[in-house]
Amino acid sequence: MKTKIYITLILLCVGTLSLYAQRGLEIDHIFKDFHRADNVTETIVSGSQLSGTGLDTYRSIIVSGDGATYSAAAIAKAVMADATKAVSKVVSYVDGHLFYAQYTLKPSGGRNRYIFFVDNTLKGDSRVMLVYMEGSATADQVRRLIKRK
Amino acid sequence: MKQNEDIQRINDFIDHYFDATTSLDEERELRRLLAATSVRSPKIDEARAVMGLMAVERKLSRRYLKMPWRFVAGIAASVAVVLALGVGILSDGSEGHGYDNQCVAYTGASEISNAADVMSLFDDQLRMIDDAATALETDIAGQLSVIAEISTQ
Repeated sequence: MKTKIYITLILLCVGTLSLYAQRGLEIDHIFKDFHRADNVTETIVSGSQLSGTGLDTYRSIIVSGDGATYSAAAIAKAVMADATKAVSKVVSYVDGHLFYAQYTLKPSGGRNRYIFFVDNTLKGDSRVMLVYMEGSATADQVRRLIKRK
Repeated sequence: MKQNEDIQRINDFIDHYFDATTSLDEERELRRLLAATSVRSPKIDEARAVMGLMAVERKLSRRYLKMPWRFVAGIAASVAVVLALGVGILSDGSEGHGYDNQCVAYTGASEISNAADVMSLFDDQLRMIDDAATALETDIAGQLSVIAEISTQ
């Protein structure tokens, strides 16, 4: 009887912890660090607003202004650390710096996960962007979603 | 005569046992012989003591194996509960969980809660990704055409 209680407790706890599975990514620290920071535009969309896209979570930050170049290095470092969890990658460098990254991560909890990174400071603009997407959308569907905009 | 043969067998088995050259069947047979014989000698008593002690240890270790499993399971469950609660309590609420209905943007400290404005930002950002991806595709196409030119020369 006691063993059953212990097993039930463990299963409940594992289930609870799985809700926080996406926190295992390095970019989560970036989202936390840049939350409501100066010169940062943060976008969080989830649920019904994303219906028809195949996504259920969309989150982004855009850092602009003077600190963008400095921030780009920190964000790129976190993005590259998460590359180890990627099952496919499209990456481009400019002058040795990460300019564009598109990672398809290993699915978590049955949901597909994607990271996008764009550092336009390397092309004369003053914006760096990090995007995290999650949902049932396949890589092709995400590509089509991006192309139609 | 039979008893002498048994004692000789027991002594041989004991020698092998302490040399660690007995098979499991031989150990079982030795244990049976030790239990069946009433003969006592320092060698036989020592073998009885060692084999008996090991049997007791095995029983004890089985008991202790059961206890740590429950103990460890209890600790694991407690740690998991504390972790789950801790993560929930410490969360700043800014994490997208995928199950919520959120549509919000922040520019610095200002909050944008108008869904149309937020979705406009969403569209702009997807365009920014598309522009970068297109630039990359253009680069690749350019490089491929250079390769094609060289290979046709």
